[in-house]
Amino acid sequence: MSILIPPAEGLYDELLLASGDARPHVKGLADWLRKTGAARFERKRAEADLLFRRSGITFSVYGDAEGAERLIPFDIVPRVIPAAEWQSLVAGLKQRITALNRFIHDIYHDHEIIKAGVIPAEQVFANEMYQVAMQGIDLHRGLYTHIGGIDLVRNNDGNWHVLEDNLRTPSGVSYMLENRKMMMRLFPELFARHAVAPVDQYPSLLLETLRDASPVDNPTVVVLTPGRYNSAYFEHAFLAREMGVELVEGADLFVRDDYVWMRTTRGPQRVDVIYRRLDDAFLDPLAFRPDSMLGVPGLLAAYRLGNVVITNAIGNGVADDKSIYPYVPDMVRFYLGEEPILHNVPTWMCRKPDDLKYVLDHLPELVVKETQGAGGYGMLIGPRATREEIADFRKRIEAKPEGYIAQPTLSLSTCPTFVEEGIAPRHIDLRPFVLTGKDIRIVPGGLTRVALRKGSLVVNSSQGGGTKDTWILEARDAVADR
Amino acid sequence: MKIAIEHNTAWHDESGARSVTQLLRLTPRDSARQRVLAWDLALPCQATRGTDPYGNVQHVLTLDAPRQDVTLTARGVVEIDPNAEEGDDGLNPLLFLRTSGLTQADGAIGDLADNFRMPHLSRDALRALMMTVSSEVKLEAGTFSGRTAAEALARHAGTCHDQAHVFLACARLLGVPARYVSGYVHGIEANRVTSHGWTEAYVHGRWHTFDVAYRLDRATTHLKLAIGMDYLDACPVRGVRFGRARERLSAHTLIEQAQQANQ
Repeated sequence: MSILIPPAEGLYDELLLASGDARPHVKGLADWLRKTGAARFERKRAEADLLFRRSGITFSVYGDAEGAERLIPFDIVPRVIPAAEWQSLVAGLKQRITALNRFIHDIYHDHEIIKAGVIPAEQVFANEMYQVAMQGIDLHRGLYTHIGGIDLVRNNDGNWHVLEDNLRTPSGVSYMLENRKMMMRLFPELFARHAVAPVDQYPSLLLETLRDASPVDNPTVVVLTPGRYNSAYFEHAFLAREMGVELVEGADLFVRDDYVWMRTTRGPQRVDVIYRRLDDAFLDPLAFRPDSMLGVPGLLAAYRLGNVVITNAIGNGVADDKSIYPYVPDMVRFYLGEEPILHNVPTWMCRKPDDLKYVLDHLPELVVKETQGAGGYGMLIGPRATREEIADFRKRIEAKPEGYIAQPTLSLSTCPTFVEEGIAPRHIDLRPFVLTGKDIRIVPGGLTRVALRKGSLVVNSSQGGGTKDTWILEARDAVADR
Repeated sequence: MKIAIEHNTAWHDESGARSVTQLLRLTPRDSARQRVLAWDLALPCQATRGTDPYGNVQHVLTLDAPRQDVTLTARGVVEIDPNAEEGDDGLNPLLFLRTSGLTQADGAIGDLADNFRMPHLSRDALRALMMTVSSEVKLEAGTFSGRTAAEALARHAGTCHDQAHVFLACARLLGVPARYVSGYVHGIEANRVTSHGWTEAYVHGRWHTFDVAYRLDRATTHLKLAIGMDYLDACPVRGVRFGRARERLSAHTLIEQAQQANQ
């Protein structure tokens, strides 16, 4: 008997139509899921757990006892996106990241978008994430976001929406790569039957992107990590190893004569590009948080002179802040003169009195987020919240309206997922990674996160989410060429 | 009036630090109020001159070899027009509505600020705020304590830096852009130059001086070195050192203060 449980009514399922038939592009996969018994899936999942643990792919959760590490649950049912749909997402992502880069350049230079009245000045300049240090600094190629992670969700009408932009230190790409390796190892027969676009070129494209960020010929690139207690340390080490560059901590670098040097056994070596995986506030204890033991004293001065490239740039936080998010479609229109291909989720800004009133009147049906929160900690999901939670959030919003935005509760699409009750629909999102150097490149795939609890909409790994392999199917003619 | 300054910063370090990096904001700039006639920095090794995010002149000094005694000397002559106010320095005032680590408000600061809440804050209201902060936080002599504005208000006592931070936290809560200024004053307490910290707030389309420690609502014999969000952005010397412990960063930030300032 098949263990494939049909999707709930009114939801968009990535694999099955409302009729229970498979969508045309995943017929083969659905047949395979129906034919394969639960015992085999269980065996394969145990195998995957063991392999992941052995290769050290773990994730530490903030707030856990020190050192406690968890596996991010890996689900063995892939999510699949057809070629044509991916092409349109790619066009939308390129457009959005281009506009965001133009915006960040603009707010640190001529402020055209503010002068034009599209975005209020105080939204930008009085934003805690605005970095005065970036004013008037000209970056190579005018690039701020070399590595972007754009979170997308599909609503029950089948349309895609951008949930948020991650322009600082987006993480998760190592799961995209490792999940693929795992799937190919567990189920090689699936890859013989499906034309799945490869993702393993990501590390070399990343290295090319980092090199493109520097005006220097053959630049020295390093990955700067906050250290092994960071939740994404595994990924930092993984990417450095895959790119064949040094993984360093702040103490391994120093600034002399306005250049950045790395301590090596053969003496100091000049560093040209720092792929940093720590926040602005920790980069330089002389310029930002003085108690940061993670950064490099004097780094900001060297950076401002153009003697080192930091990716992503300092000060990007003002552009991916949730209070700026509602303006991104306007940025696309303003800088590119185009209509946005990717849509935002409709958003109420609590700093506006009318929006605030609406939000306070409709809390039980809305999702409310802190403008600067990340990781799903500071949010309220109205329909799922208790009366006390709603009352508590109301107080927080009233005390600091400008700190919150609200959105309608989206019915995120579901994807069949191997759980206790069988292969059942669970809500998912998608984070593709956008690399910008000489050109914009997007590896066909991304991080698909899945909320493993039935009905849950929170996919964050810090809140019990899991991950899936993401398949982008190649167009038929592309397959014929191989 | 002309002010002659010799500002020595000296420290003694027996920790055997592997390297020390100092950020110096010890060089004044010309402005509507002040003209630098001569200025010289004597440093233990070469450092290049640059500009920091707020337009202050800065030098980054890295000492690789361990040294026990380090001395920095800033020496010069500056002509000050005591009757002039500062001109526009081109920085967007809205930048100074943001908070910073040392000027984060808490409930008590919010309550203090609420006494002055009104649609358009005048210079008089800010003067009253300055007087209130000055009596709520009793002035103590001394170097920067590392305390935040909230901690200083809770103690009801603090240095000129602490008083400035409380004023800044209140002003920003009230929607008035406000910033920290570091520099020197001449002859207010005695006939000598002392290192000092005060504030500027943006009202009626321009920056006005508010010196909480001396309860002054305009600059008199103030010689400006640097501005920023708080003390750490503008202080004359800010340093970090790396220790030897297992060749890992065991460091803490040291904030050095001028030992003396003689005319």
